Amino acid sequence: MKLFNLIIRLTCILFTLSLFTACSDDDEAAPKINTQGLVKIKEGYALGAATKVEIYTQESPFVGFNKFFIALFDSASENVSQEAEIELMPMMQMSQMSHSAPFVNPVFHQETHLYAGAVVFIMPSGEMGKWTLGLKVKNKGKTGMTSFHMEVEEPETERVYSFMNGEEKIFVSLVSPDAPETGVNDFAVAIHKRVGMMDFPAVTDYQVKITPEMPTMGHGSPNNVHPVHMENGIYQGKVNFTMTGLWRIHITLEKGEEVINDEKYFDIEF
Amino acid sequence: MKSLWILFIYTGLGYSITMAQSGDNSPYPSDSLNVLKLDEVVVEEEAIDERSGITQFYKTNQHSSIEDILERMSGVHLIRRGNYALEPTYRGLSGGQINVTLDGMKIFGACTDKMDPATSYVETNNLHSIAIEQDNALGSSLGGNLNMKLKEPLFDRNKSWRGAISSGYHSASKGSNHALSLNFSQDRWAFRTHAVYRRHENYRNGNGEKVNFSQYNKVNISFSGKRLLKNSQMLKVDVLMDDAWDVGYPALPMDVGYARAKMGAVSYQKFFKDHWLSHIETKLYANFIRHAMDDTQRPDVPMHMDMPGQSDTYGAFVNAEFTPLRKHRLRARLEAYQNRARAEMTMYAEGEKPMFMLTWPDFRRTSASIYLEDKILLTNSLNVQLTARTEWSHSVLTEEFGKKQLEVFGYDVDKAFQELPVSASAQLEWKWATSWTSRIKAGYTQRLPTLSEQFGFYLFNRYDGYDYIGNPDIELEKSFSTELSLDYSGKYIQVLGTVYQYQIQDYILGSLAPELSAMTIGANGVKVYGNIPSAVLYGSELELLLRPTERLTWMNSLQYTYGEDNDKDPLPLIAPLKGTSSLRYHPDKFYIQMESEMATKQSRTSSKFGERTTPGYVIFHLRAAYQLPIAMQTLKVETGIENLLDKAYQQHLDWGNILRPGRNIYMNINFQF
Repeated sequence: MKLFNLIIRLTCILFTLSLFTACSDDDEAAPKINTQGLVKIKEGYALGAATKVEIYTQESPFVGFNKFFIALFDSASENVSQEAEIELMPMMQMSQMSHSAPFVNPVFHQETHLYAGAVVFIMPSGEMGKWTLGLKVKNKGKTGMTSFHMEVEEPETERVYSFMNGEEKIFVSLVSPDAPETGVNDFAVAIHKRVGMMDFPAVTDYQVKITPEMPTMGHGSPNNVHPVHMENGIYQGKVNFTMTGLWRIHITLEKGEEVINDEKYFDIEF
Repeated sequence: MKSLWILFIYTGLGYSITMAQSGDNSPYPSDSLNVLKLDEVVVEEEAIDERSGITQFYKTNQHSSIEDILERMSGVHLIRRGNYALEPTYRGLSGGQINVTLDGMKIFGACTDKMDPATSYVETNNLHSIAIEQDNALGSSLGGNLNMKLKEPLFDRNKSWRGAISSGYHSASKGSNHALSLNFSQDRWAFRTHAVYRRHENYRNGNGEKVNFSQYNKVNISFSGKRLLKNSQMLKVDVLMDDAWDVGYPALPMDVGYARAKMGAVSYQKFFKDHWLSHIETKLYANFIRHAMDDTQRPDVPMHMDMPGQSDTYGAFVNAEFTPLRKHRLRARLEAYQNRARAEMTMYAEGEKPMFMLTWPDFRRTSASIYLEDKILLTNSLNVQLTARTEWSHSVLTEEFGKKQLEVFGYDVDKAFQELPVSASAQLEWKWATSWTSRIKAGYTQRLPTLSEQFGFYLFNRYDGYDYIGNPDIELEKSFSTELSLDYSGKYIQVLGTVYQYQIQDYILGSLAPELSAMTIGANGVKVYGNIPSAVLYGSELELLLRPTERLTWMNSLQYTYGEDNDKDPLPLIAPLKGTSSLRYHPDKFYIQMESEMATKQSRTSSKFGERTTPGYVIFHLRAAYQLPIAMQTLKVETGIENLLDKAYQQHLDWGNILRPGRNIYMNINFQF
């Protein structure tokens, strides 16, 4: 009998609790982050901003355009922080010198409640030096810093290339497609230039032309859309793949009438 | 018993012959001209009318392939890519412009490169007849329907078992053919089973050279069962299996690993006596075709590829014949079918991920149609036949992958493609004198695009060296046709002359797309199917049969087609003037036959299609057979020499400059019991 009573009580309590949670869900809709398809690679606290930082990516850091999805939580309430500002500071520490890398500061996305930004790592971690990614978080008037060590690997196929245009070194990195498939794909590249060791501003005044080709077969694909500049040095267009396999996207960069570079390409294999 | 005989006549023969023969006690046509009129060739050995010599003209020997017979039919030419699976064309119309059916069953090949026309999945020894029916009853197609009829189980009260066994050898391809058929009947049951095995090696051409990759192997097995029910009703089941393997295509860069078909049908028929409804037939059918190309035997293949294809068709139809009024003979047909097809291509480059695409994206076409025909007997010598048909067709792509491929070209393929092709015809037949008949016919036809024409994806055509891409928004092809024929049927002479013309609108043809780059290594470029504003085809067929004595038959035929597009350029794949002449001496137990076959040079070639001029030729064949009755059995020995003078020749529709077989000596032994 006692046991029966206990069960009844517990059921009541659980029921009441569930009512509460249901109510709070309905009323406040406590924001939750959506990290579908992402992997958490780093976690830490931005001391001084009382903010917990979680870093998510689609794949482990590589040499190229890395998309970072950052979740910020109030360290006391653990609520998602939606109105913070993040500044990225990628840094390569070498024995003799150090340098930064091109990046795009994160912007909050209402759909996922994540701050999406990017860093173009321009060399791998290794004997030569180590990468760190610093984050300066400004949340509710308080500013704090945190920094993470990044193990950056050389990908199987090149995802960023550089060349000298006069005195400037230009970096072109492949932004999308993330998941290439047969058919029409979004295609985007990011273009940055090195002004100083710590200064890699976006290049926004180029014309980009793409020519996809299957090198093994020697054919291309029709109706591609040349990428045009959107913002932060990112140029967006469409690339069409008529079948699976290895595709080579030849890139021609022009500025006005002048061809800046037409010798490079990205390989995409799926 | 009487009704049984009627049943015999109905089931053993086509509708039209039966009508022509009504009142005749013979189950087979004795009036050979009917064969000509109907463009129907009765190939059944039991049907051979030894005196006419007509059947032998078409089926030259026991092991004639279906192509051998088609090639001799009026208006028919064959597109030849190898020694096997030749693709029929009729009056310059081919592919989707003609409709091939087996006992009314729709069959769609599973090869994107037309290496398996529906005719390749049947065997002549298993066929009762092949006919070109121009009334569109079986489908809306410009060139009419090529309908093949399977042999039916025979009811024989005196002999419950009958059968035939035959074997033959062909020297040019060191080939052998073997066939066995058995028929069993008892009371109200009859069964027939049939098996054919063909094995041919690379043949020798007229220059004495071996033509590599021209071999083939094939087995065809079928079974039919028939049950007579009360009140002139009948149930029938047909099962057919065809398996070809290691088939070479010398004119193509690839061969065929296997081509397999499984077909089945269940049908029910009822005959009525003294009733306004005279006959009703309904049938359920399905066929499954699997086809795989094979490049592993070829030297210097730049890249190995797998290209399997499949095509499944399910359908049902109801045919009814009735005579509501004395002078009207009506025929109606309701049909529905669904075809599902898919073909893929995977290319393997070393050290890379396989390259994969769907050459036929998963495709599903559902169709429902209604056909009506009224034959009005105005007077004893004058009749009019009116036909009308409409079809509702609904085509979709069922898989995302295939849709995304075509979206690259900017097509919206996420929708259903619906069409309502219509066709109608009117024919006036006038028997204006005892032996003279004239016919005039006018027709309008719209036809659906084929799967390749609508959704094909980089299909390589070896003939012109272009990759072809389908056009989802392609228009229906339309044709206004008129035909005039005159025949004389005398005691010693029979003549049938026909002139025809097709005014085609929105003719479907591939047109060059210079902005697209070819997928196939070494291809010249890409063509996209589309509609050219117009094209015309006209031509004439003439057949002359002389029978000066009982024992001598001389059959001659001559045919010509002229085709041009809206730019006044010749249409591709149009055969030149072609003639055959066949003289046969046939006393009782043996015959001897001398044939000649000729074609003129074809210099009206389509430069857009990369056609070459083909020289003319004349070749001769010599055939003989001896028939020895042994009690109730018959032993028949046939022998012959084809291409007697070992001429190195090719026909205009032969692809890839591949010469036809040189001198071929054959011998067949056939034992019927």
